[in-house]
Amino acid sequence: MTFRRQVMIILRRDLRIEGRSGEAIFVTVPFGLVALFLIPLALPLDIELLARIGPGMFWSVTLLFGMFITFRQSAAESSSQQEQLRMLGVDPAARFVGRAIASALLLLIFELILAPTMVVLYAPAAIPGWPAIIPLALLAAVGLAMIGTLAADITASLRSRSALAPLLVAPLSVPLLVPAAQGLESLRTKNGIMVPTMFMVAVVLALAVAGVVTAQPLEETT
Amino acid sequence: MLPWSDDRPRIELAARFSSRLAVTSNRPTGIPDNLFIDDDAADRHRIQAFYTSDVPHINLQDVSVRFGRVPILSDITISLMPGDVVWLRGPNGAGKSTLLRVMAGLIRPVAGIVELFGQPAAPAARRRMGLIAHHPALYEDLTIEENLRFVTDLAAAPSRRLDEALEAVGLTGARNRKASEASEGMRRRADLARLLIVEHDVLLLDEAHSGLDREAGGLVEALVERCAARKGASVIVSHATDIPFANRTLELVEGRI
Amino acid sequence: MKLRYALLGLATIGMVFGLSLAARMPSDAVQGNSARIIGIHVPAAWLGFLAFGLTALFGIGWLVTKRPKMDYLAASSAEIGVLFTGLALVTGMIWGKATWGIAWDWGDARLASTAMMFFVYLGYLALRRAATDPVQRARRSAVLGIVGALQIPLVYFSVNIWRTLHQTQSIRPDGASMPTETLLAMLINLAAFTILFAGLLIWRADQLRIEEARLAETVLAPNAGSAVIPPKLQPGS
Repeated sequence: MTFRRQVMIILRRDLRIEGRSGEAIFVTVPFGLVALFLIPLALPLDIELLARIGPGMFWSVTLLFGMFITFRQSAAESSSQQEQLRMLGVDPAARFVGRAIASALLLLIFELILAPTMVVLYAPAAIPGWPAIIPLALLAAVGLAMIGTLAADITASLRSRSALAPLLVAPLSVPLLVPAAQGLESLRTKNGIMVPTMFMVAVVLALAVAGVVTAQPLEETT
Repeated sequence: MLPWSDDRPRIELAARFSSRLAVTSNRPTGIPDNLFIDDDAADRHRIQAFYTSDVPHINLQDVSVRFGRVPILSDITISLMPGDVVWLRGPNGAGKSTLLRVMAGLIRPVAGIVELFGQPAAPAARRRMGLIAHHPALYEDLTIEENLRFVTDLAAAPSRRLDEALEAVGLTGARNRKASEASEGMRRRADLARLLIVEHDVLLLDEAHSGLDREAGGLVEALVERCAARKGASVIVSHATDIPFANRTLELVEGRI
Repeated sequence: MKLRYALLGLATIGMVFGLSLAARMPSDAVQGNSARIIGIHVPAAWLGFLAFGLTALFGIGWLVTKRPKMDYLAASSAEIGVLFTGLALVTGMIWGKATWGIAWDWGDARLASTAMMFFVYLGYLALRRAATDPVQRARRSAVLGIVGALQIPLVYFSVNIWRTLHQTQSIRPDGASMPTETLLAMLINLAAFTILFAGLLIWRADQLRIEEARLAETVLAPNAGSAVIPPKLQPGS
């Protein structure tokens, strides 16, 4: 049983469960959309202001609300399910990677639905070369999925989990939020998008190493 | 006869399985021919090695376990020899489930030695052991078949084993039912089917009988008998008044044997 | 004489000396009296970073050795770190308000990343409160401590690269423009605070060990099974 095959089996499991429960797509995505509607209602009626803050709001909502995709209840494994995986000899790192990829794919869908909605609602000024931020969105999804998966494992089965996991993820996701949000700014000021992209690649790699290395010690029980 | 011998029609397989209900305790003394499942040389070699070796499958020496500050097990010493069928009993909270998990290498004791198959406990040994937990390890949103497919894929077992296991536990007709919509007995049976997909050298059954009807209860027995016949060992945690097919009984009281 | 008392005594002497030096020095030409707070602000911030680095190192130590002492040290370090980081944030805001007229400067990478660090380790302490089993708590907080320490430099760089564009850092005192007296007061306080940290760390870790042992005594008495008493049935009732 290769590592890649284990990853694929775990990934297929998570996506199939999401397909049945729809927790991410039919609950968290609408929640994010509601957030995009709420913010302008709390601000003065100023179309120019909205156009300016639109992209930033998109990234904030993606991180603050999208993170709930990674803690979705339907993907939380019970202790007997975890035991079963361990009895079957599943590599804890493969489990981490499989779960993180599943969350990353769901986060991409989240972004794909929220981004056009933001453009319609906030009407930000078009910036030439905007497709260059698509890789940033991809990297943000992958990075956030990994932080969230780690936090989900760290807080698994704790009673205050639903409040604790977001507290852990939010400050740790700053290295994803800032460069992703600066992508558009860099394009506007013609500074090039290379620096934020490379920075995010480095962050994602660091998170991947951290997740894979800590998977084993996290899994051991008493 | 084994549930996955390929050359027999499935109906007959199920019938044979239930015919094992009558068998109580006729442990084979020689190497029965029907042990050689796929008749491959590696398997034959492995089984023969079992017959000639005196190495216990599981060996615990002075094992103690604490959960945080609460002591659960104290100075447990047990050896499980090939062919053993151990009935582990004791009052609620005596530490039976914990002991099973120590044997499975899932819980690391604070003191003592755990040896699995003659080696210090390592994750690789777990693949040779089958564990039925107190709560079925099913994913509620997946169908019974998808749940078992997940196990089959991870164990890299051939797909036909899945069909045979479903047949043997009598769930072929309910294979497309979601686990959350299945009855408790069906869920128990589905959990049991996991052990039919992979052959294990050690079976650890935590109240596998509970919630099962007589027919399915017989399945547990057949499974244990088959494992013993292959020189495997089984530990059965049960509150039943008698487990006739067990050859040893251990009573666990307050974390001690 | 216990080491911790020696350390705390030494720290007290150092702090009295360092703080009085900061109080007695002539007021800064540009910043006025508010510059004196640097004597506390910089050492507190430094200790925050030191504490969280140590939390990660002790976490690694626990994962390798599984010795409870490592976990107690990691926890103590995080607790003291939160205290000093909080102090650094508050003194930083006071200084910013006095110097620039705003308490929170969004263009300052150090301020933003220190705040994020503060929240990461509040989360760390919340995790420790949430987990009840000591081994589970030690394991999970060790992993969080390591991941947190890895992320903090990335938080700093990300804020530093992109959020300091409109920064007016010229009036910020750095080593070169700082008067010698201010620098001296700061260095003395830096040393004194570090010694204070070491003393508190040893003290608090020992306290955690005693707490854990006390708790163990209260529950140690019976083994698990004896808690369940079979009901006695009256014959004939």
